[in-house]
Amino acid sequence: MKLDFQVGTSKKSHEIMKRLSGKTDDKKEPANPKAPFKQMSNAYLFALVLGLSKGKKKPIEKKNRINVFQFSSVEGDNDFSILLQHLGEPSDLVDKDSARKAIEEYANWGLDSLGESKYGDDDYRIHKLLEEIGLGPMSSFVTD
Amino acid sequence: MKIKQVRLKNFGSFYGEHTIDYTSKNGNNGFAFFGPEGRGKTTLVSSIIWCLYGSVEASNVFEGKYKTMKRPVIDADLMSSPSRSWYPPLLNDKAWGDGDYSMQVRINFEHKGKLYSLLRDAKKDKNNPKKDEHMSTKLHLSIDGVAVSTALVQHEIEEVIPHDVSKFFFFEGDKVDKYASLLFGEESNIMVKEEVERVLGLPALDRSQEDFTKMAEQSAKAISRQKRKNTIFEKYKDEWEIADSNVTAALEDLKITEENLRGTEEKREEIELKLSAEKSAEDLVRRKKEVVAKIKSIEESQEDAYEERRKILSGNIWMALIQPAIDRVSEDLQDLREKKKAKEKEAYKIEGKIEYNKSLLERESVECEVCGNETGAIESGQRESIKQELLDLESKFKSAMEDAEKMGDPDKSLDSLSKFRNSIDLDSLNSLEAGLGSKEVDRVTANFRLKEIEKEMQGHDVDIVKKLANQRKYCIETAAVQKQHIRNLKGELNYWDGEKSRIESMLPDEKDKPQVQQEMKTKQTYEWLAKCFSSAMEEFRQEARVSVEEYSSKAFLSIIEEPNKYSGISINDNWDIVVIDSKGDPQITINPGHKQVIAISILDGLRKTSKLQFPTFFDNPGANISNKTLDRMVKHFWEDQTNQVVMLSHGGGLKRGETIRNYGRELAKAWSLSYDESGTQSKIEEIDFRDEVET
Repeated sequence: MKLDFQVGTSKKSHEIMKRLSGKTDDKKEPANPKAPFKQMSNAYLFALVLGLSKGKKKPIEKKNRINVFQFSSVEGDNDFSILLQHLGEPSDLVDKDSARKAIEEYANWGLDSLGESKYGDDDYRIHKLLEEIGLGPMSSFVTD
Repeated sequence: MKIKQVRLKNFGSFYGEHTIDYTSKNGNNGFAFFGPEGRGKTTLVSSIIWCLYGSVEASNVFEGKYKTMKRPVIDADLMSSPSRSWYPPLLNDKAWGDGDYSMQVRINFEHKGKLYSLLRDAKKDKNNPKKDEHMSTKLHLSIDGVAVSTALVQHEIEEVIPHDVSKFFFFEGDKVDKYASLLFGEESNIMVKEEVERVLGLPALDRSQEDFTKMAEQSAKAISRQKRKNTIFEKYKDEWEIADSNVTAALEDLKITEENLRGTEEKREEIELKLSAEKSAEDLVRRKKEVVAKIKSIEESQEDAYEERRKILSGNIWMALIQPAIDRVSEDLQDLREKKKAKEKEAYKIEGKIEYNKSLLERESVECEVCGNETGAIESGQRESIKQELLDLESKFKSAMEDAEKMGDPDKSLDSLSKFRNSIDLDSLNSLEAGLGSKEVDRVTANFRLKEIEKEMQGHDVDIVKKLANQRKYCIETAAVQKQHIRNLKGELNYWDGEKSRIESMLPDEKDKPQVQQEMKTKQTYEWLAKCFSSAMEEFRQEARVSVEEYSSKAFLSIIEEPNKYSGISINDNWDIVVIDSKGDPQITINPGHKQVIAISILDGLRKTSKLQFPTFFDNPGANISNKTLDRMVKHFWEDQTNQVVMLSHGGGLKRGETIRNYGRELAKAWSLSYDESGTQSKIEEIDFRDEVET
């Protein structure tokens, strides 16, 4: 299945994504030099994989949902339908709508977790988060 | 020289007039002063130095360098400053407060059977004096009651004991400590060599050697002049004169540049001294600069690390997260593939059976050609059973094929997933973020240190220090340019001198002329004298080295605890100082107490090598020396009854009671130093110790 649709996220996750990629509301303000991602789409992709790897989803309320990217620009050359098919739930690939919903919910959970990895005012410790959720270097010894 | 009496007025912590009588009734030469810190022991030593030489130096070690500063007689700024300078003014502060600006020290002493009375008297030159320029100092000396002309007084004192050498007779605790630290520093050999040469007065002899060399050069010039009188010279005259004028110009330029360099270096020295007085502020500026640079470097490396992390996290590191899941799914897919294969195999097997059963049903009966009986055909009952079995088999086949179909295409799935297989790991992210953590700790620590330094800096005039540091930098740069110019000028001089020699070599020798013969003889004589001086001095140096080595070894073995472990001190031709153990092997000296004992021994060696008769003063010697060693040291010096030996003790190592009990027999007199009723001014009282001495 070709995942050629727009993906969105919750308003809260959108804010997290902005912080993770150092974007500020005021364009005159310099980008946060400690931001862990270059672009919001990099943060979205990482968050999606995080949710998918852990099989965790966080639903998005319709009223809070905002469109953010054309998914093809996020996945690039990678066919994420294969990952959804094998790592996701069977219902994830029933149709395009279910695929979009699954992607958004995995990413929403991932962004929420990344937002929790905050270290100080404007920094993040991603490896700590990965360790905590059992995806760090010792993940083979950690079970859910 | 033997001191008979010292009289002070308004000197240091001694307000008003005080007299110390050094005459000995029992013929002993040992003297002792006891008093806690700040009661005027060092002041007593300083008063003698000031009376003899007109100046007292204070010293301190900054960054391993020995800095000295002349103590002013009066300095209103220093006197009104709340913090005590390391080179405080000499005039008593109470007298200064009273408006009494007169300070005097008189020493009455005996030297070579004559009685000397030396008075140095400082008085104000103008009202409300603030600096030494506002004071005048007069010096009076009488020998056997006959006044010596003012112009000759200092010369007479130098005859008794040269200023340069006097320091070997004043063993100050701090100085011994500093001398010890310098003695084991990088340039110790140069320092000892210089000290020995000072004791022997060799610098003056060195100058004589230089004079002879200069005389020989003048004779060479006279010979050259004679040669140039020859008519052949006319041919080369212009060329020679150009070379000569260039030599003269280069020499003049060289002289000016060398003078300028001296000026620059003097100025730098002056700045260094001012900076050394502002040592703590300069140190703070330097420390701040270092910390600011460190913070900058940490922040830069943090920026690099953050950029590197962005690069990693925005790349395909996400693949590392799915690798465990891909492994798991791939394993399931491989199982499935096996199961599918098994199912398909099962279906093919069924299919085979179906085919066989079908062939059975299709088989027809065959008539025997001999008997005519029909054989081979399946009986009708059996046929029904096979048909039934065939139906079952076809159903099983269909079911197996459907099962296999349901299993999908695991191979294709495995192939698709393999595109997401990656050996990328999270190690780089982990180490980068761990590094970020430690860098942050470093940055916070450095910022905390910076705040502390800035807080400390509030109490200092940092701007003056910065200005001085800039001036020093300018002096260093200027000196470098001047030194380069001197090197260039010397090269130029060498070239034009060579040109002159080349031209002169083309002129006839003129050896037969009587003037030339005379100058040649003179030249040879001066050259010979310079050579003789050089070798004699070398011999002299060697003898002095041996003498210092012998006396120092003797003192060392007499002072050090467990002397049987050592054979003495060795000073080699390079003037390196090494302690030799009893087996004759050199020992590395680390113990600060040992270093001080070595320093005292070397000073004693230098003192004795000078062969000068002068009282020896010990002001709090040996901060790191054990009580036992201190005891041995006192014994070593007090037992030498040829000269007066004055010990000034703050009561730490050398306690009054014990010292008097143990060494009272060697003592001529002892005094106690304390504060008077004002609690700030020093007071001297002679101790009657006759009853305390152990018999």
